[in-house]
Amino acid sequence: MFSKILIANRGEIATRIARTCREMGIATVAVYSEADRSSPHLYVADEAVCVGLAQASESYLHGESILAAARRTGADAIHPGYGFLSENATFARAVADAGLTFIGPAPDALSAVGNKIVARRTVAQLGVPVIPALEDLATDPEAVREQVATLGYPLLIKAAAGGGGKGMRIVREEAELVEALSAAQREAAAAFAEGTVYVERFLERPHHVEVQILGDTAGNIVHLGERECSIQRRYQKIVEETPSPAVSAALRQKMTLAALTVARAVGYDNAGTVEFILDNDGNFYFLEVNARLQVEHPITEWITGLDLVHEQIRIAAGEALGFQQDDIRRNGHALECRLYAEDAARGFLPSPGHVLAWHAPQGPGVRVDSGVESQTEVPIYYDPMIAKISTWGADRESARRRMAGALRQTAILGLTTNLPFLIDLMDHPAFAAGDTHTGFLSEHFPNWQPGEQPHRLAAALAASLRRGPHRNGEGQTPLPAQDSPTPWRQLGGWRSGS
Amino acid sequence: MKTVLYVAGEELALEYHQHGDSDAVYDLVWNGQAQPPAHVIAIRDDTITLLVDGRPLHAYVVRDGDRSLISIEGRTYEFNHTPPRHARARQRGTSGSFEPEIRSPMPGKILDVKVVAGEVVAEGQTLVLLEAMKMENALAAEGQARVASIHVADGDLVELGQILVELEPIEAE
Repeated sequence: MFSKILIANRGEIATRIARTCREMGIATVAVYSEADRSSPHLYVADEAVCVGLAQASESYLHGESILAAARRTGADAIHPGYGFLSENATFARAVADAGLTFIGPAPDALSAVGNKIVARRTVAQLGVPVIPALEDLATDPEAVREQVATLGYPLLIKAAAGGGGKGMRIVREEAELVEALSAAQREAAAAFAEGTVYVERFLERPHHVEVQILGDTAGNIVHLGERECSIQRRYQKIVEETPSPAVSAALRQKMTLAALTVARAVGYDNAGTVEFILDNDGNFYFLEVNARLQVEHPITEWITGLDLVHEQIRIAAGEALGFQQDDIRRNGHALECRLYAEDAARGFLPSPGHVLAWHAPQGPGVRVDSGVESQTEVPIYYDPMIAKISTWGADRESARRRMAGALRQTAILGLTTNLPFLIDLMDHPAFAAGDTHTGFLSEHFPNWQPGEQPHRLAAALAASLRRGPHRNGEGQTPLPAQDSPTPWRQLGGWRSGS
Repeated sequence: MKTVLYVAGEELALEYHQHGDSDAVYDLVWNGQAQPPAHVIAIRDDTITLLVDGRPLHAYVVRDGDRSLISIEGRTYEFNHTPPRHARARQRGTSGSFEPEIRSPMPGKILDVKVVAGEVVAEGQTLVLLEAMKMENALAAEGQARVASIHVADGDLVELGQILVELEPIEAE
């Protein structure tokens, strides 16, 4: 087993990985950029090393700096988290060449699934359905226009080296094609240093369903059921749940079998996710393999009782899975909401800034994976996701009600977040009915606004009575009885204006 | 006690008086209208527990310069304690509003200026594509308008709040 793991990531996932390492008695090294000097992910680790400038390309994406930090601190393994270097086969090979262990699939498996076009071809040969697509696009936009006419509209443009919705565009009519192509190519080139895009048929109102797999280096492989991830904005997930309300037991059997077929064919080990798109007639199509720990892994942990990071580390250390498919029990229902620093009333525009106050919800069946604390920054340089709130219930409705309550217990002040949007989403009858599909938000929340402020009077009274801790230590004189910072002050003996 | 709070140019007057001998019960007058009394259960460093109209509420309170930010049941309330310096009674996102200055909502890079000076744009039409936080963000006109002037070009790096495009409204026919 490893003695020290370097965590090549930031935010909530770095914190989450460090927790499991600590439980396993493994020392941890956090890395940070100059923009993250005060980030909460540093103080859950045993050591912290600055790996470069604020721009991710100069720090979290800079493989050489990360490797140098691992060597300097004597780490024997690197956990890449998700995003950044997590699916970079070149980095995984460099880690192995340096005599360290990359906690993730073998580099060859990473390469096999990393390019979506290559993965599509591999999977199609296995008899797993793929969406009709055009992989080799002409360079001349006019020629592309003729090429895609055979597929018909609407179309979806995707980046070959994609992920996270970057470089994706829906094209509903021919007139939008040229602009959408150039935007997708630009975005893909900026995000993945590879601007190749392809075009596939766009299914209306489909479900996005993915299967979690886990395999060891000896070739034992199991699935941990599916996750429904259809509630998306800008092609990025904001709510996930397991099991999927759209997947019957018979369909689950078919989809998990297809996922395992794909994983076995590419010699996959460690944790991974096989993504499918599911239409309303129960037909599913392979989308891609996410060769990493997923953002939404907590909901699978809720219903299986497994710690996926623990399993990843054990597998990377060469240990056998230690359980078989029949040993895995899935219990109840779990939901996750992603809290983003973004303005849902203005096209989900990111809104980085200073967090003045953060209060996480708690209670039975509530889990919070957070990358923020009060008085920290959400920098402009990285993904605006700041926390994940997940809930468990014996059934979907219990998990949903628990989530609706947990979100109302959450407080974040100082920057705009999607918290009120998530509350409205959880309360929506169509969500409660399980009628989720990838067009859900544009159908039900086309022009969402914060709406009613039911407790305005209470808020005004609170603002008048207690002006709170001052950010800059100046301003109004506190009311007389509040000049000492005693917490849990009861109002006995308090006199207004005395 | 009487306080006046300001929300986007709107004035809110709150009077709160202790009810008889009670320490914790307040009679309230909200914008000139008497309200049921509120119970103040506890005041702590950063939270207040209230009973308003019989309903227990937990408020997170932060003071940031002149503004107070309050979170109750997952929703944020923001008040200013002094009148706005510029009496711009504008509220973002409400109907009838129009923002003539299109400012950068965050630091980033201009990818594409989609309009030219003098052009007439429709509500929702994209004016500028801004790359920030790893995504392309389309900045759109809030209403029909004529492009008065453009202050940036493709590839420019811009700061938060920098004016990118100025519009002038066109009266609907």
